[in-house]
Amino acid sequence: MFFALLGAVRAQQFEIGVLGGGGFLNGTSVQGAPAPVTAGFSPGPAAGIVFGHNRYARWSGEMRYLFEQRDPRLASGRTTAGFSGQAHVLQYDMLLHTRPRKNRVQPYVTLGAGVKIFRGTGAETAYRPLMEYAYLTRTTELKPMVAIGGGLKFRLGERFAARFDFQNQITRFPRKVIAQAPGMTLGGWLLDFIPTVGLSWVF
Amino acid sequence: MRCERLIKLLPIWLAAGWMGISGAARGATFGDVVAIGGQAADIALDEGRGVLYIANFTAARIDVLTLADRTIRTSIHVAPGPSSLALSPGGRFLVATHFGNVAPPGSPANALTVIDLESGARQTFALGNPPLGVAFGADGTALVATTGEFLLLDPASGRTELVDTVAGITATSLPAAPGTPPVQIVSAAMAASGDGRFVFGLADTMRFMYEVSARRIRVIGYTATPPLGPRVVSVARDGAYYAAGWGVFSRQGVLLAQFGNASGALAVGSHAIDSAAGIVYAQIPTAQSDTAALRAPPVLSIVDADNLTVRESLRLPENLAGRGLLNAQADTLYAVSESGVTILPVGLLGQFHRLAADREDLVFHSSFCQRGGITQTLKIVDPGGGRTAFALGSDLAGVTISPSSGRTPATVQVRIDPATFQDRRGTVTGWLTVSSSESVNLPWAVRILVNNQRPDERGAATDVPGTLADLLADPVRDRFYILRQDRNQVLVFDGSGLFPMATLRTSNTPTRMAITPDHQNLLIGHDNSQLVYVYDLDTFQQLAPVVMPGGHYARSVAASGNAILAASRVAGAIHTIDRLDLLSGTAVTPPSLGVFQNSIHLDTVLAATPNGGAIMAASADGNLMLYDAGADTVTVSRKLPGVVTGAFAASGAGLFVAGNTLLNSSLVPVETWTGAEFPSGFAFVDSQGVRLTGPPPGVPSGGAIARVDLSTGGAMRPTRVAEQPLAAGGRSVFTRTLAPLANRNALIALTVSGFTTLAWSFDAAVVPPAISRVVNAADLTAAVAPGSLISVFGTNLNPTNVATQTIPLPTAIGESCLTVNGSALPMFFASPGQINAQLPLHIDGRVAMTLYTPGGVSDDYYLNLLPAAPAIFHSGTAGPLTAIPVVVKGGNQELVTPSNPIHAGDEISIYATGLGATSPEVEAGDASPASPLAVALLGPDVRLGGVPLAVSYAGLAPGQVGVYQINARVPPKPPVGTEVPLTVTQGGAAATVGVRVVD
Repeated sequence: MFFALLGAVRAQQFEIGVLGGGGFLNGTSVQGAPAPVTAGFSPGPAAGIVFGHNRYARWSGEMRYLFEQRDPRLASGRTTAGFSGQAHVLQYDMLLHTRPRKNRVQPYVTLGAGVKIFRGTGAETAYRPLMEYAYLTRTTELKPMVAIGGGLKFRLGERFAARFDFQNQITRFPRKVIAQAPGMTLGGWLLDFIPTVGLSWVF
Repeated sequence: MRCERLIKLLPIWLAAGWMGISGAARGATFGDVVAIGGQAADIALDEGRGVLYIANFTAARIDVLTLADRTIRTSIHVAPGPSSLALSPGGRFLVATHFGNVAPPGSPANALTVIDLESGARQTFALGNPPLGVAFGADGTALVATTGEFLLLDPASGRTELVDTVAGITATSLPAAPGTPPVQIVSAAMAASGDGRFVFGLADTMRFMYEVSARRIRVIGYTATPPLGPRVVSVARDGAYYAAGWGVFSRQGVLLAQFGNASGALAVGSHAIDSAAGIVYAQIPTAQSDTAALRAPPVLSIVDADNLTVRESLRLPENLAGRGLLNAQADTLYAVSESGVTILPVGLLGQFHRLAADREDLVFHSSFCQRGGITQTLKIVDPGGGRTAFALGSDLAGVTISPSSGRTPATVQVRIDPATFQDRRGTVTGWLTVSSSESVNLPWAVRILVNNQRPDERGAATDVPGTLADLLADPVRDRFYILRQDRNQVLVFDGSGLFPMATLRTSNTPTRMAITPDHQNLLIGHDNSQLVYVYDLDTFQQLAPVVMPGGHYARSVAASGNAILAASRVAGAIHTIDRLDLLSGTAVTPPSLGVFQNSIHLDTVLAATPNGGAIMAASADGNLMLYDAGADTVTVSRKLPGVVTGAFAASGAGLFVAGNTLLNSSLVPVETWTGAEFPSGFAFVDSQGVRLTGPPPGVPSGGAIARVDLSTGGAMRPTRVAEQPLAAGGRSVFTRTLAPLANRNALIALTVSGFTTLAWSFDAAVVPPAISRVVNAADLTAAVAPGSLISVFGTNLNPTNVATQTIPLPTAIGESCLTVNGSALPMFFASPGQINAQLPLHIDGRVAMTLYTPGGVSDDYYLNLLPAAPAIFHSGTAGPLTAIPVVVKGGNQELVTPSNPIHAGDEISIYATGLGATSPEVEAGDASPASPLAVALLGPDVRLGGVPLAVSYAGLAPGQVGVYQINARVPPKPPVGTEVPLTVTQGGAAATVGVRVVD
């Protein structure tokens, strides 16, 4: 479908680029634990590619893939338990440019949707601290995702543009990768704040 | 200590026809001798040219041995008396010194020859003083030591430079008395580290270290008794330590360890250090072998470099007699020897015939409910895997060995006839010797221990091989420490389970232990090291040792609240009390002990009061001293009539024991126990004493233990002990053989086979046992089958906690034995409330279980056995988690837990008991074989959440007793969940555990 779309808009202006940055996530409390226990993911880098098509004067669309290092973790007081992990994000965003395209600097806001695949990839072990509250699990979990954000594009000549982007990826908490222990409750929304910088080639 | 053991074994070897009686039994030797037709003084290895240079002292030439064919093809004629050789780092120059200290009317002919091996040019220079040796440093200059100075020689120019002078060195005059070997004439040795940064040397009255980069000499004067022989220096590659004579020294000159009981012969023996392997090859003649030189064969020992623990002993074709050199690969050792040079292919040792037994001790323990012959199995192997002929013999009557000869590998049955020992109380000790006409090594003899415990004897013996020298209970931790002197180890045992927790390395020949008043550190004194080892008792980490003053060996250590004292053997006439400082790692010798001279008997032991208020010193000659920590001085010195041997102890209440005497706080005797028994151990327990005695010398009997009323000194309720306590404390006439555990459950006694556990209330009236419940030992449910591991619960089942690691499992443990339908069960744990055992295979239906103890016989307890009763073990632990079902994930070999869940396709292993008969059948108490595997006759059905798993193996776990293993694979789409039932079903019986499964 992606390539069909590409063919349909061939006469229009396209943009392909790379993004890199990091992510900061909120944690969520494990309900039922006698002491405060937080479950979530460690901040980590993110990188990906973006393909855009500028169909209208102010509106454009973008397909984006991001790889994010997202290590599941549990924390209670000074005790922490970590596990390596990652996330893969595939999304489509609508961009509203607040200035005409001929301007060198183009602010924009985005609204998008897609899927986020969480993967626990760490080495499992018979005992891990805080396992009485939640389990860090080597498994894969797919979650629907919405994303809102904004950014700035700077034209660097005829064919190149730099961009500074910020998005908030919103999913439900991945309860297979970080599973609640019996008697505990774990859930809520997971917010992943991702600032990135990028470079695009316009053609 | 190794030497002591060899000496002990000498009569046994004689009995076995090891010497003389049968020439064939003398055994093969290791290494090839190359005779040079003269007497070698030194060697230098030139691997680049494939030759070994041999300084032929008496023939005035340097013989060149070709390494490839081990023949001497050329000789270089040089000035008379080539005494020392050194090869320059690049291999261009060979330097030889010539010892020519000719007495008038002759003329001195001391000289130095530099041979350019590339051009063949040769220059000889006269020396003003007799040379002691030569060695090259990494800078390409040679250090030449003479009796008057240290010179640096530039071999290219022939120029010498004075580094330092030295005085007081006397050289042997020539001509020497007939029979004097060259090494003894020169009386000095030098060697450089492998990296060429340091040169170490040894002469009659000095050791020295030359730092090549700084061109600095450090000379240490010394006196040594016996002389520091053999006169050889070997250096670790980085120069961190070196061996000189019978000592191993740090670079700074501290005596780290010494070979025990050395004869001090200068011209017999050799050594070479393999730094990478951490070993030393050494022939150090002992005082005994020296006096029996005609009979004792020369032996090369392979020892640990740090504490000289003997790993292996090899027969040599002749005595080594000077420098030993390892080649770069460290697989060939070249050493000066009596005929010239001996070449030892140490890297090929595995290809030579050798012998070893797989056990150090064979323990035959019968009891009042186990009669008939007892058989133990022993494996005789060649460590290199070869087929080596062997012969076995024993000095004990009533011992049958089958087969008594053969070829390795062999499994030997050793059987004792109980009738031979039925009238003997205590433990009878003998030896089983292993000999061969083919093996090049001296295999350890196997100790045979036979004990026939009577109903009136208390205690459960645990076998601990070796020479046990000291016993200490940790005052705050549930453990105790045993000093194993022959292996240089402290063995740490758990106080409740009595299982070994850790093994701590010591230096050579540890003698006594002490615990600091803060209970934090364990101190270990040695007879063959000038270090006192220090261990952190929480972490078992070795801390910086305390370095004793030169020539002082801390044989006994005690710590008070104010000072840590050591009773030191001193290399000299006067032995002393030294004071240790843990912080600085040093020790000093007080000039006096209060108003008394600081002079003690060689065999002196120290005992500190538990409150740290005082330390008693007891000497074998009857002298006693008391150090008062408050006054920080010795406040009492007194002499008892006669000699003192055996027990020594100190209480916090101001009472002390030395031998047979109870002393008050002024060390005045308040009670002297009479009798022929040997006073082996004493412990102050609460307001009483506990006294452990052994039989008089030569009397075959067990020991006795009795409480002592400290107000009167009277013994109360003497009780027989199953095994006699030790009558010697390693190298001392004093023995510390009784230790009350901190858990107050038991008293530990050092006895001849290891240690004996005695109930805290060892003298309480015995009560008949009662069985209340029998369950399988896996999940503690009632279902049991033939061959199941079971747990028996009840009261008065055994006086103490006793566990065994002996396989086959004994059918009597502690003071209890358990029977089913009259047959004794193999047992592996017994305690007052619980016994763990294995049911026999050939029973079924309703059976009667009966327990026999010294207190009587239990009522019968009836069990209903199922043909199969699978039960999954719940004995797994992970971090703080316990009672985890023993299901192991193949991928990471860890227990399945919620944080290590089962995944699709995983291979899992389930450990269980009660799976019934197997093919081949394995007798109860025996370890199951690895080949062929013992497969369960009735295959189990394994399901995960109701989904069947493919079972690849179900049978006994190899090497385990009564433990079955089921290997199964999880299907690609397993049911997932946090508590998915994993069920093993066999013959209608099932066991289920919950496991977490994720996809």
